[in-house]
Amino acid sequence: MCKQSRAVGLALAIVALAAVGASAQNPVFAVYFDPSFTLRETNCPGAGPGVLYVAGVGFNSLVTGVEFALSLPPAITWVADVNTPAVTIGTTPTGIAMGYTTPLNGYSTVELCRVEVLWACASCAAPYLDNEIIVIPSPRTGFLGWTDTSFTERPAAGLVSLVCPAGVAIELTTWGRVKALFSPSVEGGETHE
Amino acid sequence: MSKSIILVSCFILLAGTASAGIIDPCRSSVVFNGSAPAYYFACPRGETRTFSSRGFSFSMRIVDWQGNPIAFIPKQDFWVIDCDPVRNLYLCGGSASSSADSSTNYAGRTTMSNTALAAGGCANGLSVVCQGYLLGPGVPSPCTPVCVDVRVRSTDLNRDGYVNLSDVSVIAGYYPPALYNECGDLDWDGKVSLSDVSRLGAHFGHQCR
Repeated sequence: MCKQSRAVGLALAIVALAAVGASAQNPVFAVYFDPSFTLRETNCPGAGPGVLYVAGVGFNSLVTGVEFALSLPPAITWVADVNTPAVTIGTTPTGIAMGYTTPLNGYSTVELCRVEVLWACASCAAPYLDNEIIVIPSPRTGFLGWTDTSFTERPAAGLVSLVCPAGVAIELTTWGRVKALFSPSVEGGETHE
Repeated sequence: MSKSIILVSCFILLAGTASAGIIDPCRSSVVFNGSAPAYYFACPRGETRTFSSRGFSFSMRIVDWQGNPIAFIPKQDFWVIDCDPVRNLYLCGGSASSSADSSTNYAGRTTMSNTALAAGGCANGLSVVCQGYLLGPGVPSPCTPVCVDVRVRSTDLNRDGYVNLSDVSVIAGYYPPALYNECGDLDWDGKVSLSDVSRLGAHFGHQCR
């Protein structure tokens, strides 16, 4: 009986902790490379125009406004923010604040805006390896977050997306150069310990 | 001699009759119910909260030059205007931007609490008007209109009766790192921030009816 009540108590405590953890979880803003919000890593698609999709996840509320900024790597040059509401102040690289006339449905992943960019990289080679696109607080206000239907400002977290992640990097090279990497005696070769 | 006395008496009687029913703005009174400063957010369409839901109201008593209460003054004959020497409001429809709760009763009394002010602009003070007369504290001297510290903010920042891109430009000019401007602080939290932009977004496209 005593063991049973202890077990029940433990289970309740775990459930309570989980609930607290869930409620304390902040929504996140992230940059995706596809409109269905599945890819947060990509190889360089080649020099030319492209689109990034900024989305918010985990609001569990209607969303009346968002504010953030994007830190863009050398692989990407910002061109324009599109699909933004009429009430928009600033740009994504310098800090953007958007107020929505019709609140966004934050009960599922929701697109906040799209960013038209120019890919500067032709392929995944230095200096484009592990290039990070980070959602950061707006440098104008220091705020990264959103507002609910009572226009209360609430914080969010920004995620990192990767261009040319090192794990899957495809770098043009030769077998000779690869061998040189493991041969300390070869002039110009690198040593790895 | 008796003729002149009769004439003077007639004159006084006529004058008294003529002034009956004409508002005496000095002895008529308005009382503010609430704590100052009070805060009020307005939209040109008038789709915001009422005065009472923001925690304040006005009580008016209207008397004529003889001190008699004036009954049945229509509720539409009451409205508020700003009394801010620096800033001012754009009242949608002028006197139609607000109204009393009901016509004056036999005691000349009515209240203003259930109205939602339809306005643009920004002001730090409101006075109550009845039939064009600014209402005072209810004492003949000093006869100065009552100006209450009600801080009104509106998404129609440029006072043109329409919440549109012009207003976005205005609030963008108040947004950090620009210097703080209280007219862009639509929720009185001491900063122009996302919550103010969100409010503007929610009322975007609204205009005076």
